[in-house]
Amino acid sequence: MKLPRGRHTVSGPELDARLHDIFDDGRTPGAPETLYDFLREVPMDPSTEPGSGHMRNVWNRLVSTPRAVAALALVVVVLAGALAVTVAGPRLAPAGAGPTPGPIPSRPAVPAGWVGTGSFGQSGPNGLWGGVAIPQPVPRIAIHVVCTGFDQLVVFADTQGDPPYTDGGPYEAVTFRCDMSGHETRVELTAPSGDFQQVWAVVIRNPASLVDTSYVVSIEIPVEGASPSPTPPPSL
Amino acid sequence: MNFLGAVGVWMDRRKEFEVTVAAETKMTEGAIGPTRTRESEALAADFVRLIARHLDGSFKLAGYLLADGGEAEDAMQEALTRAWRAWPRMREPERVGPWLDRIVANVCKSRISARRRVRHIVFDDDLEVIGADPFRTTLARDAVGRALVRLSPEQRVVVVLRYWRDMPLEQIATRLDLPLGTVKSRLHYALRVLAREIDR
Repeated sequence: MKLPRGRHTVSGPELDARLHDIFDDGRTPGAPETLYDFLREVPMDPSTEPGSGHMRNVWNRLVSTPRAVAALALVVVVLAGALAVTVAGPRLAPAGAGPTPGPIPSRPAVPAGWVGTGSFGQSGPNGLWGGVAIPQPVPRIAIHVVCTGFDQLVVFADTQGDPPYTDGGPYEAVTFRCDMSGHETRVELTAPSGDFQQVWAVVIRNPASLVDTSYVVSIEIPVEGASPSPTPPPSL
Repeated sequence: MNFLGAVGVWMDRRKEFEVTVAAETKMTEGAIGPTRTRESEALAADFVRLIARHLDGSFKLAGYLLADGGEAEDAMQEALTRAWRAWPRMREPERVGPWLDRIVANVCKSRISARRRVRHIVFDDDLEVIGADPFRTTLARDAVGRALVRLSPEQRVVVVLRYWRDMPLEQIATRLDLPLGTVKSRLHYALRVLAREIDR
C-alpha cells in the first residue's frame, strides 16, 4: 500500500486534532521518583548483572514485575495447589503449625444471603500459596479476603477442576493489595461459563517490604447455590 | 517484628545502601589504573546518567500504551532491567532514547498480550485513585482515545509515536526496526478504526 508521505488517507483534520489533544503532555505525569530510584539501583543488583547468558533469578523476576508474571505465579500455584487441594484439603496452614510464623487473620464473617464453603490461609515471609476445592461447584462465588502486609495477593478461581492447569485456561483472577490495617475485601465473581470448582491464591512479594504477609481467603456461595444441608465451613 | 520495627530496619538498610555506594564511588575515584571494579562502576554510571534523560519520555510511552500508570511503572522496571543487561552491547550512546523506547514498546506489547490470557480485576479500596489514573483518564475522556486502547499493541505503538512524539513515519520505522511499509500499513488501519469513532 502506498500512502502519500506525511498524509494518511483515513486521517482528517478532526482526527488529527483529537489525537494530538489526547496526547497533550500536560495531562500526564513524568516518571515517578520511585522509578528513578529503581534506575539507580538496577546496576547495583547482582541478580541483574549485565551480559549474555546470565540466568536471571526467577524469584527476583517475580517480585520485580508482579503483574506481568501473574501467569508465572500461576504455574507455581498449579503445581502446589493441585497437591494442596487433593492432599491437604481446605486447611492448608492451620495457625501455629509449620514453619510459617505469625498469626493468620480470622476468617471474615459471611454476609447474609451467602454461605461459607471453604477457606484457607497462610502467614510467612516468602511466596505463599494456597488453595481449596469448592465442594459444590457454582457459577457465582464471592472471594472474601483479610490480608496484612505490603504484598499483593492474587486469587484465581477456575472452572476447570482437574490439574494440570494450562496457561490461558478458564479462570478469573483478582488482585488484592494488602496493607497493615488488615481490612476485609470482598469481591463477587461470575464464571464466564461453567461452574467455579477451585480457588487458588499466591502472594506476590513486594521487594521493598520486610514484613511477613498473613492472609485468609474465604469462599462464599449464594444461599440458593448451597447444598440443602451444608456442612460447616472449616475454621482456621 | 512489628510494623514500626520493620520500617526502621528498612530505613536502616536504605541508609547502609547509600553509604556503601558513596564509599565505593570514592574508592573508585581514587583507584590507580583501570580495574574491573572501575569499569563496572563506569558502566553503571553511564547507564544511569544516559537512561535518566529519557526516563520521563519512556514512562509516558508505557503509560499511553498500557493506559495505566501503575502498570507502566512495572513495565518500566522490567524494561530497565532488560536495558541494563543489554547495556554492554550498547555501542551508540546517542541512540539511547530510541533504543530504550524499543525495549519499552516490546515489554508493553508483551504485557498487553498477556492481558488476554490473564484477566485481572483490580479490586481494592483505592478505587478513586485507580479512576484518577492520568493515562487512563486521558484516554477514556475521548471516544477516539477509548478506541485507541482497543487497537492491537502493534497498531497502538505506531499511533502513539506518530501523534504523541510527532515522529515521521521513517523515524518510527527506524525506532521500531520495522519496514516503512509495515508502519504505514499499521497506521493506516489504526486510523481507519479511529476515524469510525468520529463518524458515529
